Amino acid sequence: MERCKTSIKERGIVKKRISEEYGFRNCIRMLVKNRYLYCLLLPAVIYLIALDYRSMYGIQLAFKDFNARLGITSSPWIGFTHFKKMFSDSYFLYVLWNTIKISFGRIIFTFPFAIVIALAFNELRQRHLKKVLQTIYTFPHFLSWVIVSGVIVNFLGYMGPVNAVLDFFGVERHVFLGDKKMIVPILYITDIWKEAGWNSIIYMAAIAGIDDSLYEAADLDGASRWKKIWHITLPSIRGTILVMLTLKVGTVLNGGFDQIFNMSNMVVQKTIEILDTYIYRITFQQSPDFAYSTAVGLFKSGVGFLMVMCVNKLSKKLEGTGILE
Amino acid sequence: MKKRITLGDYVNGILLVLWGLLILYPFYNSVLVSFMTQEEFMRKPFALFVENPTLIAYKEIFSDSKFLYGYKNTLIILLIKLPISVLITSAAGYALSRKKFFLSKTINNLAVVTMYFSGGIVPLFLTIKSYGLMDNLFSVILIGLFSVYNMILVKSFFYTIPDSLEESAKVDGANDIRIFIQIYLPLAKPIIATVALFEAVNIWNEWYNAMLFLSKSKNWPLQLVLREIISNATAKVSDTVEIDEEIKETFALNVQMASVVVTMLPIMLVYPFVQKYFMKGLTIGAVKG
Repeated sequence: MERCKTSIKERGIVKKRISEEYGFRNCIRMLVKNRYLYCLLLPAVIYLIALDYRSMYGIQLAFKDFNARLGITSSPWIGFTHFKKMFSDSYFLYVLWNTIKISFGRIIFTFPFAIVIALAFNELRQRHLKKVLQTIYTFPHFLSWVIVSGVIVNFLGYMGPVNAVLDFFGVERHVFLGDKKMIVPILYITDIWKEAGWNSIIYMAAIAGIDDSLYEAADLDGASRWKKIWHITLPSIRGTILVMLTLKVGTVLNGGFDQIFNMSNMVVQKTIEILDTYIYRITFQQSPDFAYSTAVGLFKSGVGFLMVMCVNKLSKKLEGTGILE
Repeated sequence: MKKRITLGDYVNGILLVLWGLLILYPFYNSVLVSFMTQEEFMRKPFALFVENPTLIAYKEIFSDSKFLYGYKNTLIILLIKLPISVLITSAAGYALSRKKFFLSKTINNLAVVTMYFSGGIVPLFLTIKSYGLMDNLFSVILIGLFSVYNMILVKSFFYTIPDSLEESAKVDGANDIRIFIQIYLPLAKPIIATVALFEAVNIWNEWYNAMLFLSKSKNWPLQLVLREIISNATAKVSDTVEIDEEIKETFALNVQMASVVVTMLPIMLVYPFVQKYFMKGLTIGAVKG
């Protein structure tokens, strides 16, 4: 009780101080006093204004009938016409649903894999082997999807190693990347293959932070390996898992542009179309409608932002730490 | 007490090693194919070594000036963008890690928002166009010159350095810029290395902005040159459903794989030695500022 009172008192004082500091005169004084800090910030601020916020000015196109001759500012307003068109377009709705499906598929199939790798890796005791394996696991993360899709085109190719093995066992060769049924699982598998090792590091760091005495106590009680994983390791990294999961859910509209864009082809293009590839295509097709694709982009970016914010709040409530600051 | 190695340990170890091999083999196979002749490739695609290695594919890709231009453009972008980017990012990270000052919170929030909300491609496209940077390498250099993610890494690192350093320097009459350059920057070497490496990899892997803004292939960075070669190949994937014979006629695969190899080689060679810096970045990022 006593402590509570003083803290409220202190808070009052702090508030007073802040209001004093933000008076006009003090403002100027603060500006002058910190002028060198502003100098250090200046290039970054110029960048943000000249690129990111300057671009955001163009968002108004989503509510305008864009005319290249008139430019962004002078084109006439037309309200929500583009958005109405968007939601009456069955292909857009299909793409939206497809994006969500593919993203949730990633959460179900690829997300747990990093945790599994971290847990298995933690049981490994040979230090040298650990080091070598970690280098191998994390390496593909640093290659672009352009490179990785090149490697996959060869590996899953008609004459490639996988088909060679199938052929050896008398199974007919298969065009994996040109198969509408196979392509989505292939997206998940290659995603795991490229990123799971890197994503597991964050869990390994969390596992490394667990108090050893917990395991020692469990050993004394004769707990098995599985019991220790289930009752000590997993509960201890629950916070990390939840934060990563909420972040994934928050960015569900992304769907993985780089991967899909580079692994797509005429046959499977529609099967793995996501919002980002759709926006790209309608922007750079033969007769582009800039205003309409701005509207689709705004929908994606806006809803995505709201979701990240909500999920951040949720994560703060659940774990006390937000994914944002 | 030394623990006994049980059967479970062996199974676990073997599975982990297999997973490692599964990651390595596709890369290894790509390297092998790049040295193969068509005849050998048709005979045994699941190879562990090449019988008659040939440099035909490499000769072919370097007989075309595309790859040389690609290397040149990527290096130009790297040399200009990397130092500027690291400087801007770490300066901003330092300033925002200091005690709160007027607008510092606002600037920080405005920066973080751009990580999750953007105008989209059309507005960005029009912005770059209005600056007259179409078909100019500087479009690619400009975009991403300041990285908010890296800024947060730097900032989190500076939080861990005690304020007393800054205070004593201030007593000696040093201003913030001098304190940053002479005291804090040298202390931050490990995180600066991490940020520089992340940025270098990003620049090396850049293809998307180049695809949007550079139409002349003379201006393309390496990855975009590679992308054209590979996407021609993925496009062919769909043709083969009907015409199986055609794929046997054209042996473009060793050329494609040679292109993949020359593009990823620098990262492959450097990565094992700098891996620890990347990991450091990830764990610092996880702690958050």
